[in-house]
Amino acid sequence: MRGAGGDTVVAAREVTRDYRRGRTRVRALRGATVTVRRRDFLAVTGPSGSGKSTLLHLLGGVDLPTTGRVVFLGRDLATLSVEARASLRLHEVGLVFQRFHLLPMLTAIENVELPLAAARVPRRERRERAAAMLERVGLEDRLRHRPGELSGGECQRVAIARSLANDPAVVLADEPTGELDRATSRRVLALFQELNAAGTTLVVATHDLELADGARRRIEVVDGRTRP
Amino acid sequence: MDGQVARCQARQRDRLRGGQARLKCPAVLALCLAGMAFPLEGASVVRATDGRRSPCPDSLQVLIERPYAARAGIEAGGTVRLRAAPDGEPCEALVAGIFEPPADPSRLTGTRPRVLFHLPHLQTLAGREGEVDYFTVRLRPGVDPAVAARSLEPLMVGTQVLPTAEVAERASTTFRVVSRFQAAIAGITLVAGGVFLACIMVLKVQERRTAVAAARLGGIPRRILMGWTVAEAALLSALGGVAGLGVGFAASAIVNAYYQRAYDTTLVFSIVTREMVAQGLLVAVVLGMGAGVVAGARLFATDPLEQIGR
Repeated sequence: MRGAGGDTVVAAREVTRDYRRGRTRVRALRGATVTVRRRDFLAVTGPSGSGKSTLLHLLGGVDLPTTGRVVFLGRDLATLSVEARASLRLHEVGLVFQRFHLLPMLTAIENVELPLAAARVPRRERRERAAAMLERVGLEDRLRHRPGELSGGECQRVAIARSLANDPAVVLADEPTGELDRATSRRVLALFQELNAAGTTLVVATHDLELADGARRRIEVVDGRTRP
Repeated sequence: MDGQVARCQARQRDRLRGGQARLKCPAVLALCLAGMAFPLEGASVVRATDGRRSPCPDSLQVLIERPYAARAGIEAGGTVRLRAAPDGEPCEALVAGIFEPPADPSRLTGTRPRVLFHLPHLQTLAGREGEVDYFTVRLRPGVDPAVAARSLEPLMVGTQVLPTAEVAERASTTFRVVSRFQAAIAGITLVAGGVFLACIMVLKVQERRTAVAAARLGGIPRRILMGWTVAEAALLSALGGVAGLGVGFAASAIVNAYYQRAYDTTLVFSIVTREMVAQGLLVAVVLGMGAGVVAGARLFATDPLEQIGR
């Protein structure tokens, strides 16, 4: 599957997305176009409500466009079933959220193991891989800690480790530094740069100009449209 | 079969006196003693007082139950005076011993002391020689009490023969009613507990709805997350069940200690059996799983994107 679609990991063409908020119909995207290639580190910037998160959701197959096409590793996401899209997200997409969204009853290593378990990786292997991921983000001494026992920065690093667990084609991060202080945000940026240098493809939606400047490439979303 | 006993009881309406059935039983005794069909290994006799005046038996000896002896200050080796009727002649009796009365719920609140006699002494004292109201026959191992009862009854006209299990069954009707009442209370409590547990689980999963939504967005299959929720609820419920059993054992011990002291008896008032433990844990796990399914269904009813926030 990795080979499909050549160098392009995911491409959105003239996508729009409408949804209802109560009785009101909201048009979150009005024709956005973006292409993400292997080893990209793309920052998606723009004001609040401009459609950055919606674009990320469409790129990751979390949501489908109202019009337009999203092609992920050569496959049009609109043609896939709900289960097939879930499987694609599990194996090919890593998601990082602003508020981490770690399962509070699981330890750091168990949170990282979860996508591996869902992918039916054998127990011993997934434990080793999860431990290696946490070591990669500098949390080798926090494996058995639960999210409530970790700082915000540590939680976000666990979330990044979780997103990398299944060696995805792309990691999509939505405001990953939104809940973090400046120093911790810099550490997260450094981690992203390190991961990207090692071959991980990243798309980051952010308000954080420092994070955006640290990316290799940048696009802006304004009023639901992308600008290079 | 040792310990299984067939019981012969008089059923002669024409000989009812003082509200109790009586049986002229020498023939039965003779049958049993002769070991014709069912050899007698031990027998006991109880009879009703009818107020007839009678002579005192020679060398009258009795055994007196411990609680009464303790209350009345009677000790083994002492003497007591007995009458067959309130206006009868008193007879001096040697207290040959004090015995611990068997634990019998039907005698729990009884105020009359239990005194054991040699059968001939009692018959002489009561003026009813050769008569008994009922007696028990211990069967040899291997003899079916029901078969023995059916075989004995035709031999004794007007006599009812019952296996002790049936006697116990008839005597415990009241307790069965109480048991059913308690079972109903237990059932209502379990249902209420299940609803409570479901509420707790719904609240718990609500707390983590965004984390679960994020996992769903990440492609974690619903069955895995549902499995987690159900397993957690079942574990929580099982732990609650174990704690409940602990409380049950403790409460049972307290109840037994209190009432055994209050009634001066060895009777066990409250028991927690293995079946209860197994049923309790099973019900707890099933209720927990049900609560987990309810909570999970609520959790998965909403679009994860809505839960995360678009």
